Amino acid sequence: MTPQAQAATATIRRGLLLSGIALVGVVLVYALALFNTPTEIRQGLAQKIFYIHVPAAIGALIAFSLVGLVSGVYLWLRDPRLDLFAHASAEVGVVFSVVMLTTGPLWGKPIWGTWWTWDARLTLTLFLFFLFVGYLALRSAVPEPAERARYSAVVGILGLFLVPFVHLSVYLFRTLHPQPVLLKPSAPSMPPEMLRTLLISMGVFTLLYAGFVMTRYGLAILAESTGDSDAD
Amino acid sequence: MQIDTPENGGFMIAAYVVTAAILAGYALSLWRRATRALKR
Repeated sequence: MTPQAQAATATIRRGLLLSGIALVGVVLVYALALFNTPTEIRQGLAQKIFYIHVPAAIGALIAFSLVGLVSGVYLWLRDPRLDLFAHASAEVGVVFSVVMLTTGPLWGKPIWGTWWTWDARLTLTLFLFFLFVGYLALRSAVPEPAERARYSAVVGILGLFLVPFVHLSVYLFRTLHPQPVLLKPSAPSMPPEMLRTLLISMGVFTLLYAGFVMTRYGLAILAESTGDSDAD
Repeated sequence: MQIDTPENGGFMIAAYVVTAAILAGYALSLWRRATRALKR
């Protein structure tokens, strides 16, 4: 086994361990949200969806931002490891987006009275999701590694331009979606018990992102070092 | 003024179950890919 393959194997093992710890953390977040966080009086128990929806949404936006940033650096340095990291981050970003796009309507139905509405935040988020699904499809469709990396880097950078519009859409347009309670210029607008659960959940989702990306990146490096594309 | 808290716990349970299924499903897919790759 080459030193590169050995390093990739170690990365995969560390990633799997981190993912396992983070999944236990998700169970703890559930317990904390259900049994140790007050119920919002107007929204009822549906408000507790917030503790997974918001961290998944922030995780997805960070994942897609990193794809764009790392893709930009790839086009400059042409280091294939950057391309493989961008791929890993995009895949995990899509998984987090699926969580965001399923938990959002499950909150919207009891609170807004509808599963979905074509307002700016929701529509832009859906576009961002489709863009990165397209990014993954593009990678599958181009067999030549350097060409694939170049094309997908351009799509990744375009996705990065969409991220600020998604975050600021609640200020730029008239929208049903609630304003940010955490990522805003003023202090967080929620009680300390709710804020604590949200922050813990964000920490757990960050750990989950790191574990998933580490595993996915290790698999890609291993596939490249052994020349076995099935391992990717 | 009295506020009636809505009974909508089913939506919360559905969201938590769906999230657990998505995250565990992806983790399982990574684990299977890793197991296959490390065996080779």
